Amino acid sequence: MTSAAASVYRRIFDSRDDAELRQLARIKRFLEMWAGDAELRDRLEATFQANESLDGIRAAYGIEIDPAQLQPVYRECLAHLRGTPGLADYPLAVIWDRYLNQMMAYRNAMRGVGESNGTRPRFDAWRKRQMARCESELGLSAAAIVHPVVAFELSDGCSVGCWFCGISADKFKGHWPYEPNQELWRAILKETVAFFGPAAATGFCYWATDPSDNPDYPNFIEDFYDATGVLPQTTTAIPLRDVELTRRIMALNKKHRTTINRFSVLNKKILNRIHETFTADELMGIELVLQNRDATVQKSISGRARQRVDAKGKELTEDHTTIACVTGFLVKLPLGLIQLVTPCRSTAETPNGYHIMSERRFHDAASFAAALRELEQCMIIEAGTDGIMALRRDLVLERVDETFTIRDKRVTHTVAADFAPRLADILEAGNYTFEQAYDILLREGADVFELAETLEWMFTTGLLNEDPKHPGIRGAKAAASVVPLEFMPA
Amino acid sequence: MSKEDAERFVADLKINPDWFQEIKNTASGLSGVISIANAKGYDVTVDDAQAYLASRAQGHLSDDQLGSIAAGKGKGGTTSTITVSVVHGVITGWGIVLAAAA
Repeated sequence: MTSAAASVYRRIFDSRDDAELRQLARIKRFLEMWAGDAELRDRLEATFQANESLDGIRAAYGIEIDPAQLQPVYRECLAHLRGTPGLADYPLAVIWDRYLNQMMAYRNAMRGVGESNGTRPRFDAWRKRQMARCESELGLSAAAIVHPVVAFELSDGCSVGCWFCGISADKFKGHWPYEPNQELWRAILKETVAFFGPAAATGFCYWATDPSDNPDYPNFIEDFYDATGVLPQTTTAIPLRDVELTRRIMALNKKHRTTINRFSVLNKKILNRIHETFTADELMGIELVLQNRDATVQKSISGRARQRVDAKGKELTEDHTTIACVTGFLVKLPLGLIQLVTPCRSTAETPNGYHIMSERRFHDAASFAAALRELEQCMIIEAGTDGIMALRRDLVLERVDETFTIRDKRVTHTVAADFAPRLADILEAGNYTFEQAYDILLREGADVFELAETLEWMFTTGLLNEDPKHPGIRGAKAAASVVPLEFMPA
Repeated sequence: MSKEDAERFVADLKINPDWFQEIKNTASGLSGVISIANAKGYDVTVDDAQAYLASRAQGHLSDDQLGSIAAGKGKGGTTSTITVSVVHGVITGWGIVLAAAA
């Protein structure tokens, strides 16, 4: 069994000969250096401005490609050429953009693999609604979220302690060893595949943990491959702590070629050491997520990064406010706990950028399977009569003549029905149930088809509040009950 | 099976407020209302209901709003017949994409 997304990923490698792969690897390395090193960026730009030779910079930094042939990728003044015939004058940019387009196709394919309409229509309807909500709530950054259906934590806590950790991982308390848990792990994977079918292949084996904190990690992901046909995606912030372990993971990745892996790079010194330790060719299957001070990539303002920004009294940025990606089950194996989660905007109430809708305990494969089914029943897939008609708290409702608009991160929705002013009253009040809304609006003469369509549209596009901490479509009371749990060694 | 049956159900509902209870008890969207209508002897499909709603849209939306939909500015899938959704954010950014979120 190989997922469609894995096939898309493999084509990135299979559609190129060795020479082009080597060239692509060197383009990628140059861009990693450019993105992680402000001094290099400044020197390059000054050299271009002065119309001087790049030979000196190439020699100083060990750059193996001609950066001039890549300019539209990293110089804003030439960025307009991307996607136009004019890019042909920059052959390395053509190579890079073809790679990027394939990577985006892979990301979109991953979203598709997560669909489970055939096997789990209830789950699938819920996930699709959460995806629509994320598009509305998170804006452009939502496009990068593929909404895997499950994540497994193989440790309790994280030993790295990044100051910017977007989900505020707790301190490391211990890992879940492969022995004596091998049998349970395989049974859990079997139940996961039985529950989701092919969508299980979107899963991965870390969350608020670092894969490298579990020395048995390669064993776990090989079992995952055997169960799903896909080696799960791996991101580590400590690829240099145990290089042998890292190389074992990289070797599995190269052997199966089903997904890209990532190294989080915490500072420029680590970036340089990664480049010294691993060749450009070895890193072709690894994205470097540059988190250092010089990096051009913006950090998500959530978790500990949010705490720091708050503490400094700085204004929070509007975009990229979560690194959470799972819309489904977060399985904390050391704790015997499953949480139903979905990404959301990081706020003071949800600083880690995801909602925990509900949770269940498990202690063996049977209770794990039962917990999945119970949590599935917690998913709201249609507006119930006792659900509260309240808008998400990030939305802005504005009355315009006899209509009203709802404005989210990217879209202005205009509701123009005859009943719009009264519906605006109900939404602003934020405490009427669906049943009460129907009652009021029908008695005042609303067209029943228009009313049903409008309320259904608001529900399916995720405009109505589902934050478990506030009244919303889950009802008047918060449904989630989250209690601190102790680490339970195997 | 016709749009006219949908129109007839809407008109009859106004003189049968006791039907409200059934509708508000389901509160589950268009398909729920169609089921109730059919249970009462009307013959309404989803397509009929959509055709009925489309005929009503002309009266609700301005020329500009209808034009937005025609021009493709409305966000597909979220534009209903009496609501219109217009994307106001513009996808910008030129930078290299070295890393995509999970």
